[in-house]
Amino acid sequence: MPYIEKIEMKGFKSYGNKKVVVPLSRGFTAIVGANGSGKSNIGDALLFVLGGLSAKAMRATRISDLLFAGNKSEPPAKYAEVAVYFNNEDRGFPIDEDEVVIKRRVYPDGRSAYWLNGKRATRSEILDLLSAAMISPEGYNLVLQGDITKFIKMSPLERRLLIDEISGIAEYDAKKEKALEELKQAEENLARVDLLINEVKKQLDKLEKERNDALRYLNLKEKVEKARVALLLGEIKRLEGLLKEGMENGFTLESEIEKTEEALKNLVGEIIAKERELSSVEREIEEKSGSGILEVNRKISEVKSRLEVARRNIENAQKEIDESQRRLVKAKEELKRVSDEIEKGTGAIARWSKRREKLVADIKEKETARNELLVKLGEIDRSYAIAREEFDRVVGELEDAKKELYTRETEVKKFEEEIERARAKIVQATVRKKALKEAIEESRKALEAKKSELTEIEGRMERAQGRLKKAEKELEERTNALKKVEKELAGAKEELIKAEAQTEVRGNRAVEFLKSQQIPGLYGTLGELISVPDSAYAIAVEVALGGNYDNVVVEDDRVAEKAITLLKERKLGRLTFLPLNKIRPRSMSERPKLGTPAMEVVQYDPKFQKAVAYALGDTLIVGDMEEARTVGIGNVRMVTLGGELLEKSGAITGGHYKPRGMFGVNVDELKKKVERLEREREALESAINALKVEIRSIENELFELRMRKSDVNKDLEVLQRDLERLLREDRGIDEEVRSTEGAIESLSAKIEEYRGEMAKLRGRIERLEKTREKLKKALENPEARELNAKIREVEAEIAKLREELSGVESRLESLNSMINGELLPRKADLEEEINGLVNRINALRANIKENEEAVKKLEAELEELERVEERVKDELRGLRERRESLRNEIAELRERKDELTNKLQEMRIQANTLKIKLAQYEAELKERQAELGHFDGKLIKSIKPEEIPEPEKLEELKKEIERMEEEIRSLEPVNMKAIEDFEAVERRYMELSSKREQVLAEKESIEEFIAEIEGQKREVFMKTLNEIAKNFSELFAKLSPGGSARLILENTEDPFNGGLEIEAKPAGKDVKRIEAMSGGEKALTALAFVFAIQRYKPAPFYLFDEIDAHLDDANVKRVADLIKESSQSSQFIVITLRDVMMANADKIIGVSMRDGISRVVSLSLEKAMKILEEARKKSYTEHEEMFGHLAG
Amino acid sequence: QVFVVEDFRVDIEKHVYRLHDIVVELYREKREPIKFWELVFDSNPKIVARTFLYLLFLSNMGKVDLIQEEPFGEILVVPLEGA
Repeated sequence: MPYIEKIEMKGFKSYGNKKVVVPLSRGFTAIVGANGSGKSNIGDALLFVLGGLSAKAMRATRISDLLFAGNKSEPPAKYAEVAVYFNNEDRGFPIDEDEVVIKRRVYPDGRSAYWLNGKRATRSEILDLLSAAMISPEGYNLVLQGDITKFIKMSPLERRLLIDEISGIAEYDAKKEKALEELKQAEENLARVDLLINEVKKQLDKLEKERNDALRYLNLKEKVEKARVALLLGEIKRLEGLLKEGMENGFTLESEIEKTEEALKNLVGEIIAKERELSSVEREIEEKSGSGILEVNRKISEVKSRLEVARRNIENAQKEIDESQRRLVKAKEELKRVSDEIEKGTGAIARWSKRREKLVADIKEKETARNELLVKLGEIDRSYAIAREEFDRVVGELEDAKKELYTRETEVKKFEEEIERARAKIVQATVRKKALKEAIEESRKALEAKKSELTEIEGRMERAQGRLKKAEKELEERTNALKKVEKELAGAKEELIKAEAQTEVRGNRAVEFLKSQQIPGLYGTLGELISVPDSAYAIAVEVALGGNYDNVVVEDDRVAEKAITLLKERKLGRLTFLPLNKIRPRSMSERPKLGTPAMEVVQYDPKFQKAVAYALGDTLIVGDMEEARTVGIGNVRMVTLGGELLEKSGAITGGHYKPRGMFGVNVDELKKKVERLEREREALESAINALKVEIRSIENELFELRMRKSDVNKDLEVLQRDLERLLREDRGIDEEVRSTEGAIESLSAKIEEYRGEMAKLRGRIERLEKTREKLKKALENPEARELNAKIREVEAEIAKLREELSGVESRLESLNSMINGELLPRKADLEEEINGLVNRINALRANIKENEEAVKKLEAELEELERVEERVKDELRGLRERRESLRNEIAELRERKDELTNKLQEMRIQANTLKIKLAQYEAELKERQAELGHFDGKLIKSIKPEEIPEPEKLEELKKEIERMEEEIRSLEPVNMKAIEDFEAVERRYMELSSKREQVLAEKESIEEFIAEIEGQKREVFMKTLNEIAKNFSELFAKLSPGGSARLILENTEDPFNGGLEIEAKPAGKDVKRIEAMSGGEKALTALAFVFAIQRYKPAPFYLFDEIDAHLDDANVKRVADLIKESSQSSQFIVITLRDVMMANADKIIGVSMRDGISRVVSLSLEKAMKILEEARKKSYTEHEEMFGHLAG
Repeated sequence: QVFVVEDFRVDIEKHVYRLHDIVVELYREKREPIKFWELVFDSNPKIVARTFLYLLFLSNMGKVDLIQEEPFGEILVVPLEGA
């Protein structure tokens, strides 16, 4: 196995520009040195040569960082170069040399070059060579600083891929790849064959159809031909049959016609006989029905009507008799009643007359008695009547007076009560008045308070309004100011835009750029620094300035230089600078009489005087060419107001001139102005806003005040009204009291008056009572009294009698009038009526008898007549029946005759038709026979008699032929060639099918082969894995005594479809998840893994960079022992700081750094030990000798 | 033994300076470069390795110069002036 003999570095990282050799050898080499002295750079150098591409792997940010950067005494390296010398005595590299030197050089631009044994080589050649010796820059045999755990950290899948690589199954993969390629080829072939087969099949299908069509076509053609012949033969047969049948029918028809004609003749004779009989019967009927029956009928109806009349007469008479008798009975009854009443009335009159007479007598008697009494009384006392009258009057007066007195008393009492009430009222009013007075006082006070409040509110309102007015005025002022500012601002902005635009149009990017650089001492262009107050001179000055317009005024030449450098750097073009310390002003030798020197019409900062004078000092502004001429063209540089330039040289420039714009326009100033105006506007706006807010708040206040004012006003009004009401009430009470007092007074007066009257009345009553007593006594006379009573009694009796009398008289009168005026005339009437009725009844009875006789006679007559009528009717009926039957018979005969005639006609037509048809059949037959002659005789003969269709089948056959012909047409055009083509293509199809079988078999065999490879691959993989896993477990146990670890496939079924897990269980601990292990445990596990692989398949060399950093000495010792053991089969280069590790190495490479350059010293520990041993022996011997000598 | 290792680790600087003192002393006595072997007092490989490492440290610190003519050849130690 090859190993590295030495590494040579030049300009690589810390190793300086001199070539540094790191001697290496087979076995275990330790690289030691202080941190940062460049130990790891040796490892990096090795990676570099192995073709590492990643700078990061070599702990550099860029490949170019690999170059020595230089120090105080040494320059940076021009390139970095590393050469690695491999020992190739066992021909591990496929090169027939004992030594293989690989050299790589990298240049600062990152370019790399490789050499192999002194010859230029490409990177891939180097990589191929290295991989042949199983070396790669990314190999697991290279463990960089802090990278030991990469085997732990890598994903199970990556780990499995590592085993894949080690087991070399790539070979199988390559085989599989190739097989897959073949499979793909086979599949493609199959697809191609399938495509062909599909194509051919399509063709074949099409041809098959065409072939079938062609065959069918031929078949149909033949069939149609045969069918046509059969049809013809069938038709001939049919026609012959028809002819034969037609002839037979003809004969039958003829004989029938004859028979029918005979029958017809007979029928006609019969009809004539019947008609004759009919006419005779009709005549007879006419006779009978005419005169006979009509006369009889008329008579019958006449008799019948007379009979009816007689009968009705009888009935009427009977009815009238009944009526008369009823009336007679009634009249008789009434007569009897009337007679009774007359009798009763006469009796009553007699009784009442007697009574009246008696009454008249009584009355007369009584009157006589009374008159006697009256006479008597008149005699007794005439004055009594007068006294009596007087007494009555007095009594009446007395009663009146008493009544009046009583009235007065009542009234007085009433008045007194009234007075009492009025007094109470007054007392009440007084109380009320007191209360009112208080209320009024209160009301007045409230009113006063409200009034003062109102005054206060009004005052406040006035003040607020004042404030409002002030604020509004201020607002107006501010708004106006704002408007002004805005206008100004707009103007300024426009100006600014214009100015900017102009600046841009002038396009002096260079000047703009310089200005933006803010170079101190750079003032701007001349055009900007000058202003022309009188615009009339603007054009003239502009023209006068000419090219100097854009000259940049600077403080001194240094500023100019600086600006120029900047312009150059930026490639911004050229500018002319006017350094104030160097520029020489121009001037006119003397001031001409006419014109104005340009210097006098421009304004500028005095410090720019020189620059301005340089541009304009020698220029005169004149009004026009005329004036110029007067001054003298060529005497001085002149410019007209219109812009013509007259140089001192005499050259005149003129024409249309487009003014460039304003002078002294300083964009910055404008910008500042705009900013200032904007600020001003903002301030104004905010002030306006504040004012608006204030106004709004004042308005709000005012509004509130107004509201309050109106409230107070309302309150005031209410209070006022209250007060008024109270006052009114007060006044009302006063009035009431007053009127009540008046009423009391008047009532008292009335009482007084009434009392006087009452006293008078009482006196009168007394007097009247006395008079009454007197009169009473005077009237007390007994005789007179008795008479009076008697008279009255009698008079009453008389009146009673008279009344009765008048009743009787009226009764009498009514009775009389009833009898005479009513009852007697009625009686006479009734008697007369009774007589009349009796006579009438008798007459009616005679009438009835007469009529009954007439009825009997008429009935007999009617019977006779009806008999006659019956007889005549019978006769007529017989005749009519006969007539009817005759008519029917004749009609029947006629019908039969018509029938026969029709039949005869028909038969004749039939006979004719038959003849025509027969002729037709014959013609047709001939035609068919001729047609048949066109067909092949053989074909005709081939049709057997039983194949000739019966006539009824002909139509069917025709349809069949039509159908076949239709099919033939539908098949056309027919590809007759298809019959042969089909066979050819079918053969091709068969061939292809068998080829497909072959290809398929091939494909299957490849698939089988792939499966086999997969199996082998798996087997190899598993073998490798098992070995490595075994090693791993053993080595782990060795490195971590008492611990155990395993490699486990994630997918044991299909190892390639899953990763490889590490399961580690350090001594005395449970199985741990790898991530949870300490750094040392991880390192040990990883090393076990690396060595497991090394043991299975050693790499030529191993580079370990500080793998022992996290291990304690015991573990380092174990690892060192393992390395020592393993270094039998591989070279180990171990970068370490641990003495335990170093002590185990065969060789030690020491690295130290001086002045930024790494240096190398090498020590062979074996050799050192030998020398030391010898030295020790020697010194011992010397000592022995010496002491021995001394002793001896 | 373990204790000593720990001791070494902790006082590595002390050991390095002591080695330097020895180098300077020897150089003053001999006035010629000191051979590496002269500085190794024990033939224990660990001691050899350590001594070698300390010399590298001293060289790194600029206190001594290590001179080797050929790979694995004699290593001469020279203390540097002013160090």
